[in-house]
Amino acid sequence: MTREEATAFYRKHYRRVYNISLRITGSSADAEEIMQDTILKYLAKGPEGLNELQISAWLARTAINKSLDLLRSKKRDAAFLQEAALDADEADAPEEVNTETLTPEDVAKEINQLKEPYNIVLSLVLIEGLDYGEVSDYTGITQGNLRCYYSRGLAKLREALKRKPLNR
Amino acid sequence: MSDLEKYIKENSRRMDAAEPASGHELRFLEKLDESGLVEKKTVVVNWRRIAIAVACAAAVIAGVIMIKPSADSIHVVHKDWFANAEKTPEGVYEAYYEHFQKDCQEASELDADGVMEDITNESIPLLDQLPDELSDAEKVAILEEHYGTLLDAVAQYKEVLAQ
Repeated sequence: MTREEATAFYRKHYRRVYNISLRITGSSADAEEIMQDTILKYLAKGPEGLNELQISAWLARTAINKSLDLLRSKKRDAAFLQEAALDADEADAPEEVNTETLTPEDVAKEINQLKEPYNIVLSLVLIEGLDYGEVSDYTGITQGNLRCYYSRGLAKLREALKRKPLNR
Repeated sequence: MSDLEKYIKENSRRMDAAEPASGHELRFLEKLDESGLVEKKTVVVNWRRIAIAVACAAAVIAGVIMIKPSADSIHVVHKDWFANAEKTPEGVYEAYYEHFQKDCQEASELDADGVMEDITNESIPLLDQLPDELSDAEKVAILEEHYGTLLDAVAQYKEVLAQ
């Protein structure tokens, strides 16, 4: 592979991989590190013969794993993705938000600002399109708890979006 | 599925809007070079090469002073290298890098000592040294001046090699 080909590959994929990692780690520096390591890993020893969709999925999966590994390493006190189990402030599901007043950027920002594990569960299920089984494999959280985090996270997101002043 | 869930799923790719910090591509290229996956571009500066570069520069100056150039001799000065570049700091750097690579490829056989790379070598690219306080427009002006001068020097050196 030439330098130009590697650069072209990087330009094609960096933004998505970076955003996946950013939504999990919440850190721009960590997300950049993971994004670049993920792309280099694919260039060095990624599986051959994949089509564009498969390459994109491989990069996403690797970035998710690396991002979750980083979170685990930062939380060796076993608190990884467990805080929500103790969170008793579950509110009744607030009424639906008017999506016509939203922008994708606003919603992404609010998801990023949710506490763990709500931000991670929502971004993996809603934005990355993974099912509960896959998210459970990645995070080690049971599917029952994931459903609970998902619905609580969605309620918190609705509350946050309702509080948010419109930019337009 | 609620409206909000539907909205997020339908707009999921538009949520990948965040950009890494400025200079991320250069940092990636550094890692790429270190990985050994592609042929390394950067050359470690050594004094012998610098001496050759200085000698070449002196020869060019002497040539200009002593030999009256004909109309089709050395003529490449202050070319507008960045006319088609995106007017961002990264755009200017990318345009510079593309011109430089093209020059290197064209003159690779003649420039066995890698003088052209010595002329343009930067331990830390100026792009990464400019303070955040500067506006993009100010950065673009500085970078065009700096990298334009380097490309002018490379172009003049190519003329010498060709002669």
